[in-house]
Amino acid sequence: MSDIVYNAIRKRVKVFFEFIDSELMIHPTQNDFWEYLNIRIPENPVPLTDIIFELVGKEIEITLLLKGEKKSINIPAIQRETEKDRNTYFDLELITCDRSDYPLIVIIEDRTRIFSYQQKLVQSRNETKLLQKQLAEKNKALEKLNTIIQRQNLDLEKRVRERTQELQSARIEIIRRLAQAAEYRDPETGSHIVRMSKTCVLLAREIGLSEKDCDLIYHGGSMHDLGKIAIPDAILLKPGPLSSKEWQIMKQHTIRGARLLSDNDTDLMITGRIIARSHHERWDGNGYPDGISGENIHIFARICALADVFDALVSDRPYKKAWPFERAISTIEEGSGTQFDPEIVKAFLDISDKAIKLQQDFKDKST
Amino acid sequence: MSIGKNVYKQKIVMLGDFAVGKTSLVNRYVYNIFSEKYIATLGVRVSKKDVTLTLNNKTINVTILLWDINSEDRFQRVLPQYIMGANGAVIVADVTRPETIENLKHHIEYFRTYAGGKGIVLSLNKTDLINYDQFGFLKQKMERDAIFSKMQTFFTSAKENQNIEDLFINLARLSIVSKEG
Repeated sequence: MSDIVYNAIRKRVKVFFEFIDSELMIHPTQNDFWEYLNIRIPENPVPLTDIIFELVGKEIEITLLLKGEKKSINIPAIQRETEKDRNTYFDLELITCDRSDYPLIVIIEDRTRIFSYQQKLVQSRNETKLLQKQLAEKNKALEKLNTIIQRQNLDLEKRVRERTQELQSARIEIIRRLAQAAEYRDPETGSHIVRMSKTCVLLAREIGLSEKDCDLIYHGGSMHDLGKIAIPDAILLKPGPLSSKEWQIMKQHTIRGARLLSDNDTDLMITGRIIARSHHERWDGNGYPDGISGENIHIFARICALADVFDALVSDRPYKKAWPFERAISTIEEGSGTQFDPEIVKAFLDISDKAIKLQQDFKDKST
Repeated sequence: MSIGKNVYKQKIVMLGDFAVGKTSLVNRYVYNIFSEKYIATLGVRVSKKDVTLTLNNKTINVTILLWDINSEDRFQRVLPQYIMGANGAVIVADVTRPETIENLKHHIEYFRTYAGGKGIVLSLNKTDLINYDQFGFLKQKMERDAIFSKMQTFFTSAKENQNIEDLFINLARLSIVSKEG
């Protein structure tokens, strides 16, 4: 091989070498070797491990090499900073040589290009791994936080629910007592509210209203005569028949009741307002206070109208004795399509046994 | 092995999972520099540090050759050539990554396979990132462990230059004693 070709190959593959004597001294014979390592060419031989310190610890292997018991010593991918901020990578190989003065040759093969590329890959992969781990930890912490928040939310919801329930119960209780206060001024008895409200629920269920509506009608129904609180005793407690003027005042209890329950838009108060105002409306439009008819009358009011009349018919009053159930039922039936919603009358007939039992269970103590 | 007049040359290898701070420990000890930037090591980078030790009332000059070796994973291996002939090892873990502490045992075993029963010290690095309670917990964990409890463990911070000098000097001393002993 000509020197030109040899040098061209060496330049391309970037392989450098230097000779080592039997005393493990490296001899400066090849300029490019020292140039590559960025070391000033020494004037005299220097100890091998002073220059190639990566061979420290390999003394036994070097001895084996000199004895011919080992072919070579390899250390791949050595990184050196040959100039400031410039890393080079090379593979190192120590092999025997057939020259008597130099039994060993150290060869370095520059691998900077490929290893720099590999370093970038490893760097990128490791950074990704670290990032993934950090993300996983953050996610874990977030999940933990979420669980705590969820638990706190549930606790909070429970407390809000309990508090709302408490407030609702208090509100219902106040309304109930208000309604009772109105009843105390009325010749009708205290149990009327209970029986009438429960009968309303029986009817509401029978015609297929939701449990929420049944609950509303139960509590709202108890407020149907709340307006009587605003009717003068002289009229409300008058034993005899009312004059036309007195009757007009008496009818006002519907409007007064609705007014008492105004300015509040909870479902319960709205229900109470509807029932208080419209429970004396008739299916045929001859009721009061608005004279509305048919389905223009809210279903809650239509139900209460029937329940209220039924309870009045089967209860003792200062001006009349309680009617037998059969007679009361018959009267209700007769009012179908005139006073009452036919569908509700039909429902009432279907649940009349339960309505009668309810009357017996909550019979007034005075009767 | 000592080469030259009264100068010990000690080959010390740095082992541990990736990004535990092996290069940072070397940079802090040899060049007294620290960088927050993570640069993955590929292959091996050997750094030298000359120190003077006093051992049995004798002053010894030691050149410590620190082999900062790439971490091993399924893509790259720690080559046996790097380990063979070592006089000792610093095996490093990151205190913020428990798995790197678990992996210390793997690195210990690997080192022993290729370097025999040479001196090993453990470095639990990045202590600047944990609080006092976590530190206490880790200390107990290391003391309770049958393998770790027999080794010198140093809680280090390359960032804050904590225990770095002690770590390397103790290992150099240990390596010389075990070799001469």
